[in-house]
Amino acid sequence: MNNYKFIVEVEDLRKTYGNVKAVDGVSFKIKQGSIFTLLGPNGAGKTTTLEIIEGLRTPDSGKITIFGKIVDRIGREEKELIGVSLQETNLISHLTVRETLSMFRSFYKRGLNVDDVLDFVSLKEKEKSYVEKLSGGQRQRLAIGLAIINDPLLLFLDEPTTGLDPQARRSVWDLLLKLKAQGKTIVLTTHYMEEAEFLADWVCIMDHGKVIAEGTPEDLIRNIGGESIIEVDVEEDHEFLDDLNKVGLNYVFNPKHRRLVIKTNNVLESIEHLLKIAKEKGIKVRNEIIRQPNLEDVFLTLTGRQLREE
Amino acid sequence: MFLKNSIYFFKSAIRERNYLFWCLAFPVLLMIILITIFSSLYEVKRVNFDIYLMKNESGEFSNIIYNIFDELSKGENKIFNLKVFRDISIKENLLEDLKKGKTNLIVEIPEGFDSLVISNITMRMFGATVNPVPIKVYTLRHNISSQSASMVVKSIIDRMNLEFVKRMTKVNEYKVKSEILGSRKGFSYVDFIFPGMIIIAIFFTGLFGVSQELAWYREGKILKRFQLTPISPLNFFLSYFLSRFYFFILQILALSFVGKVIYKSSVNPFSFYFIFYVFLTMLTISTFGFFISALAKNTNSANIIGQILNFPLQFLGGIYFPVNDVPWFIKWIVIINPITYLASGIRDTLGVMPSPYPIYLTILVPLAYTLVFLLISIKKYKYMEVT
Repeated sequence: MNNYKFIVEVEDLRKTYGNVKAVDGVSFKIKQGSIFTLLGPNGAGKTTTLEIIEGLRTPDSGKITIFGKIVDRIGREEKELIGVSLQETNLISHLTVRETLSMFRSFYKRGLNVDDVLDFVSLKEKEKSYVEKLSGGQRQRLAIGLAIINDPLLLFLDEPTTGLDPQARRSVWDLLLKLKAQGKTIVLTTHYMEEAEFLADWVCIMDHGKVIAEGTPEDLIRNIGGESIIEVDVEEDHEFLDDLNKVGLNYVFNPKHRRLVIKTNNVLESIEHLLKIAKEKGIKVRNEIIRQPNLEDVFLTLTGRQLREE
Repeated sequence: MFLKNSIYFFKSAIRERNYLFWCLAFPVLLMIILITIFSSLYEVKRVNFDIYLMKNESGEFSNIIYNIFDELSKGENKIFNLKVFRDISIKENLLEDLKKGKTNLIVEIPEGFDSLVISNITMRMFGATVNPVPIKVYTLRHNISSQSASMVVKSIIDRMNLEFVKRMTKVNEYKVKSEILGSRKGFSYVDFIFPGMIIIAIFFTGLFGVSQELAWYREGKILKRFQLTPISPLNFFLSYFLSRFYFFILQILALSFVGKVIYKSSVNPFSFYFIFYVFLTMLTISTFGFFISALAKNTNSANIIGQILNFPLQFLGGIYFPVNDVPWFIKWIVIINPITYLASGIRDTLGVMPSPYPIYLTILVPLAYTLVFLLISIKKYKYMEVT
């Protein structure tokens, strides 16, 4: 296996559809053997970025280096080394799981044994089932099976857990961690911050076609400041919010959900200020939560919006 | 690689119930229904009329009439079932039989017929005008068989009169040299519909199967998934169309079984011409389906385009009935319809029915369509939905 410091390098990637800048100057580098996550809400440009790298779409401008080679559009040689799972996985519905894997295996010069893949994605019992009869989780595992059938160096997984129940999602996460342990590089898009936090070695947060932050999940969280987060539901009241500012509370208010998120290093003092001001202004405070900050707070701090608002 | 992949595509098609029904079972059922309904309509049945002949005379002229009716009542091609009665006293009973439908018609050669005919001939020789000698024919009102029998008998009597006149005046006979046009054998609806149904089965598969499937492969992002693998578009389409050709062969075998084994069609599905036109049909219809999928934005619009084109192309392609004499305002659909040429060509070369078009056109027109469909499809077909 070739070793690359960065298996993928993207520089100033741009793609416009009409007046919409789907990808607006995106740059990042992906280390070999890592799980790299593009995190962002729907419409942030994650899938377009991924599809440009995969060769499905042509960028308006920008440079992509993959396996150490600058490519305009990836060719057969690169495709042999890449595995992909698309956001929506439709396959030929009246083929069995085994037949589907065998069919895809035949597309590549080299790859894994179909039985090994069936075992890996835990679909041995379903090998004779038609694809259309699989549950969402099983279908997603098959999609991952198809992505690894050629034993690729690099895997692109576009929202592999969207729409899955927590148990199915967890089983996909386990698969991804096993793949990482095998030395595969995984490029993952998601809008689930807990997924990015759990899996990612490196997170690239996207919004409106731009990279707004990147780093390890721990660094991103640490950088927003505050050891703790206080979350409460309150009515929108400008005087109340002004008074919170005056006492030095570092907060973000989401008027849509009437949710107030306060970052603090002193939980007790912050709560005391909050309740006092609320009492003075006659504001009811409900659904209080005190927790550790996460990537959702990073996005909220950077954009003023929550990841799953849209 | 594409041979192996074509098997996967074929497996997928034959496992899909809708596909199997509409593209395989339905054409077979339709063929059975059409043959059941129409073969009896197109079959020329021998008609026999029951006739009573009351012959009170035994002279030369009455015997001529008797001999003619007798001749027409013999052999496989007989027109009459003749019963001769010489006893005039039972006339009432015979008329009663006619009323009850036991016979279709009664011909009565009246008493004194021969002497009246001789007298008429003699008087005519001297230039006298004479009244014809009557032959009485009894029929039953509102009875189609009886009236039809009456027309047949009347035409026989007219013919006899003409012969008499010709012999007396020595009129030259016109000699008619007849030539039979049309098929080399008797018309058989089974032979007519069998090659047509093979064309229509392939037509259904192309119009609905291929077009919607290829549109769905794009809409469902299946093609997008294939695009991410090293398989080339040429390889994909070769595999796919080869799989449809396997399906076409399955259709041909099923319809041939019904046509040849059950309905004893004389059409040979293994003849060169048959295989040639079926192959031409496969090419034209497959590329036609490809063409629709290239124009359609999604599966739904492919279905709508298919539905719009289905009826005019299917019913004005001469599959179910001849379309040479359709009114002018729909004639143009017949003329531009590739099915017309395929159906005409295959039937002509198999000797089922002569083609109204030159044979070269029945090959060139479908080939031209194939080329046009293919070129437009290659240019217009998108692997991915347009964003």
